[in-house]
Formats: sequence, structure tokens, C-alpha cells
Amino acid sequence: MNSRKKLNFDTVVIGGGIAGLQTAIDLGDQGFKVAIIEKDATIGGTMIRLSKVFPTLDCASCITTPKMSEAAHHDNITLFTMCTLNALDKESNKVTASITQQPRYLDPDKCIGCRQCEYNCPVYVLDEEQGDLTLRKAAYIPFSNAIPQLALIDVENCSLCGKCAKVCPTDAIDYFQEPEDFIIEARTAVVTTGFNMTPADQKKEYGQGKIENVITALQMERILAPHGPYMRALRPSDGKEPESIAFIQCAGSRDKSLGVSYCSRVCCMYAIKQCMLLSGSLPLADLTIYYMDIRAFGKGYEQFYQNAKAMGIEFVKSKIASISQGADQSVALKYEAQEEGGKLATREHDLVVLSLGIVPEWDPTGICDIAKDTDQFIQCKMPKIAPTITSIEGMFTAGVASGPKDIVDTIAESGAAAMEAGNYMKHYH
Amino acid sequence: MKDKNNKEKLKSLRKQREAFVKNAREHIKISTRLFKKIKAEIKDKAMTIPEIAKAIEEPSSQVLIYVSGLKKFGMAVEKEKDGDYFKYQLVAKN
Ligand SMILES: Cc1cc2nc3c(=O)[nH]c(=O)nc-3n(C[C@H](O)[C@H](O)[C@H](O)COP(=O)(O)OP(=O)(O)OC[C@H]3O[C@@H](n4cnc5c(N)ncnc54)[C@H](O)[C@@H]3O)c2cc1C
Ligand code: SF4
Ligand code: SF4
Repeated sequence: MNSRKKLNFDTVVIGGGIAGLQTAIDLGDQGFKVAIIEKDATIGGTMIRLSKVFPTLDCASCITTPKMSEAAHHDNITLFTMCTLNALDKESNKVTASITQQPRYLDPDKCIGCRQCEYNCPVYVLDEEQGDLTLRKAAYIPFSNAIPQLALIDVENCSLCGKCAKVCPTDAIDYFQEPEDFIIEARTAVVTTGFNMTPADQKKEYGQGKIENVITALQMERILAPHGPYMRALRPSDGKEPESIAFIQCAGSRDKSLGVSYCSRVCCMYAIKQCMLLSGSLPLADLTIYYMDIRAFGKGYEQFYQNAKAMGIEFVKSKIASISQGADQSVALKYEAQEEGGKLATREHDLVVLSLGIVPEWDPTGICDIAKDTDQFIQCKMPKIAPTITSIEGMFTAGVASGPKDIVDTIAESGAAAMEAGNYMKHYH
Repeated sequence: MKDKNNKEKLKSLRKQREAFVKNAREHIKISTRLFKKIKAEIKDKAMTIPEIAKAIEEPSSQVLIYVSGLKKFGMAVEKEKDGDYFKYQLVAKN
């Protein structure tokens, strides 16, 4: 234990999504030394995986990549990717993070991101970065604007054929690499661990993930992205250009039976955004949103909703009773039409998108004593006046780690977390 | 220079990671078989996903994943539309 590498920083930020990046940049700009601990092979979180963002319809990658790059090149910020956080403790004035660096099976100092390993690897598996809608190799770079631009080997799918080592121009491949433990000591920590989605196969009424052409909203983000799996909108069962696409709201939120009684806040807006983008690429398609009520809470959001209605997107106030396989690979929806006296109606669509619930990605149990709220997100001690303050002094939070929110609120909160952490370091150290 | 991954060491590592290697080889087998069948169909003519699926007797969802994989790695291209479906063809050198 004593032989473990020990590194010192002012702040350790857990999670390299947009919240973590913004917090780190704001602290770094004030002269504080920051470490970002990210579990994935790239920083950027969900935002870098989105197509465009509501309500401005800016290209997500165009506005996330500069932030990723700024953090990566910042003199005061050090990125640690593919890291597992084993423990995060606060004792007297010191935060200690115990971390395992997972192997990429190559030397990051030698890898130049040329992708020769990827091109020559013979193993094809489903590409999770593209919603499992296309293939990737066992040696790969997650996506073209991943940061750092380093390859990794998916060891569980590697045949150890040796081809990547043979073609690598810098002799970077190392099949024998082992996980390495290290410790970061800091004065403060900021938890920006973000979110995950409720499982698509959770609900019996929704076909438990077995119905063709029922996809998740994150898969739709990939379909709509310029470098998506098909480079256009197609339905996954057979490549048909869909004529009719439906969105099911609250498909995992506001549902006590799933343990998610809260509203996930961003689903109404991203469903409207996805419809708008689809109406651009498929102008003749019928677009329908089945909703309980529309929550357009932010600046310009109500106008965004009204614009969508004016564009011909249909909003059906309803409760979905069941989803089943329809004729010709379509999806049949049975629903209670609430504006037609609650009558039971049926309709078929080529493609159905589930707006699944947002749940915390990280459970601190057994890793850190930071308190969770009843919704399982990180508890904000003073949610009204200081939402980034947690139950542990010197440990702050920002972004979706403390509850569902959009990018605007995430960025604002990240600035606040950086300010609180900066103040704490100035006053108590 | 490449001593760290030398043949003998790799051999023993393959034994150590036997389950992973077996799994990977299974992936190679499946994809080689599917790619071969798809490539044979779209070598000289562009076809839609349902046409390819019918010709090779494989599920069209699976065919779409593999054709989009071929496209991603530069081995196939999208061609003209036929009704609601786009056609795909192998790039000449493949
Ligand atoms: C389908 C969809 C579409 C959306 N569209 C929009 C939109 O158009 N406009 C908008 O404003 N908002 C949109 N959002 C919401 C937006 O994605 C979030 O507001 C934003 O991504 C939150 O950023 P974050 O950094 O808090 O979390 P995340 O993006 O989840 O980032 C968290 C990061 O922490 C890492 N991490 C987690 N746990 C650990 C750990 N234990 N150790 C190390 N690292 C860890 C994760 O790998 C990840 O990189 C959308 C959401 C969804 C689901
Ligand atoms: S071939 Fe070598 S240098 Fe190129 S991306 Fe792969 S590991 Fe990196
Ligand atoms: S050793 Fe593994 S990662 Fe490298 S080329 Fe072979 S299968 Fe791919």
C-alpha cells in the first residue's frame, strides 16, 4: 500500500463529462491544480455523444470538443482516463482518492492515435458508442473526436492474434499491461459523475427490449449525429427510411413501479429537438410525441415547443398501455387518448423512441460517505442557496450527479462548484 | 524491440485468457462468414438491406449492422434509393 504512487492536486474532480470539464477549467483558470478522474476511455460524457442540443440546435460536438480540448491542454489540469475510483475519503483537511488505472494494453506515451491497430484488427463487435447499431474492432479509438486520441484493446474480445503489435508504428502495444493503483491527495473534491438511463427492457408493457424498431433516445441521438451509424435516419430492423416515428415520454420516469418517481426534466425537450431534426432530414415523415404533460422549463424552451407544434409535429396527450410488434416490422402502440375521453386507441409507427428515465451513474455506497438524497442522486445540503454543497465539507457536486438537469444548468452549477471549491481552499487552507 | 510481446509470452497469455480468446475467435468466425456472404452479393451490383437479407437468408437487422460496418471501414458505399430503401455496393478493391 505504501509503495503506491501518490500525486498531489488542489482539487480532484470525479467524472469528465461537461460538468467535470467546466469545473476543472474554472478552477484551473484561477491557478488551482486539478485532476480529472474519468472511468471511460475518453472525456466528454453524454454531451459529446449527442447530435445537436436544444434549444439552440448547436452541433453538440462543435461546442463540447473545444471544452474537452481546453481541459486536455490546460497547464493546471491533468486527465486520468480509464480509471476506477475505489475510495474517496475526507480526513481533516485532506481528500484522498484511491484509484486504479485500468490498462489500455498499450503505452499511452507511445500511441500516436494512427489507428493502424484498429484497421488491422480482425475482430468485429457491436459498437456501444453507436448504440450497438454498427460494428467496431477489438482494438479501437472510441470515436473520431475522443480525447485523448489513444487506442485501447477490448481484452474480452481480443484473440491475441498479434496483428496490432505487428502493425503499430511506435511499438506501443503491450498485451501484458496490468491495472495500476495510485492515490491522489487533494484539498477539495468535486463529484460530477452524471447519469445513466433506466434499462430499456425494464417494463413488461414496453416489450422488455424485444420489439424491433423500439430504440432509446440515446440511440436516436447517434442516428441523428453526423458521424452516426447509418449517416442518416433509418430503422434498425431493415434499413427502411421511416415514414412515421413516435416518441414515448416518461418511459421510465414519474413511475413509482420503476423506483423513479421524479421527472427526468430533459426528456420533453430532447424529444422535441429530435423531432425537429428528423423533420429536417425526413420532411415527409409523420412525427408524434405521446406525452403526459410537456415540461418546457428553461429560457426559450416554451417557444421551442410552440415552434415544434407549428412545424406539424403531433402531440398526443396519452398514457401508453402497451407496445407490441405490428405488421411489416412496424411497432403497434395501444394508448389511452386523454383528450378523447380516455378511449383506448391503437396506432402503428415505423420507429418508436423511448424517453427513458435518468438515474445516477455513480453509487457512492462503500466508496465515499457522501450523502445521497431519497432519489439516490448526491444530496445537496442547501439546494436553494448553495446547490453544489454536499454533506461533506470540502466536497462539492455539479451537474446531473445531484439530479437531472440540462446542459445550461449543468454549466452554471459547475461554475458555482468551482467558486465554492476555490473559496473553501482560500479560507480554510 | 518487440520482445515484450514475443511469441512464447503470447502463447502463455493466450492460455491465461482462454475464455476471452475463444470468445474473440467466435466473433471472427461469425463476422467472416457474414461479410463473405454480403460481399459476394454486393460486389457487382447495389442492393437494399432486405434484398441482401433475402439472398443470404440472414435477418435484415443483422445485415444492416454488418453493411453499416462495411461502410464505416470504407469497404462499401451507399448508392441510390429504391422506394423506401437505400442500396449499398462494395467498393471496387474489396
Ligand atoms: C438523449 C438525451 C439527449 C439530451 N439532449 C440535451 C440537449 O439537447 N440539451 C441539453 O441541454 N441537455 C440535453 N441532455 C442532458 C445532458 O446530456 C446533460 O445535462 C449533461 O450531459 C450532463 O452532464 P454531466 O457532466 O453532469 O453528466 P455526464 O454527461 O453523465 O458525465 C458524467 C461523466 O462522469 C463519468 N463518471 C461517472 N461515474 C464515474 C466514476 N465513478 N468515476 C469516474 N468517472 C465517472 C462518466 O463516464 C461521464 O463521463 C440530453 C440527455 C439525454 C439522455
Ligand atoms: S497502431 Fe499503435 S500508435 Fe497507432 S493507434 Fe494503435 S496503438 Fe496507437
Ligand atoms: S491482438 Fe487483439 S486487438 Fe490486436 S489485432 Fe489481434 S484481436 Fe485485434
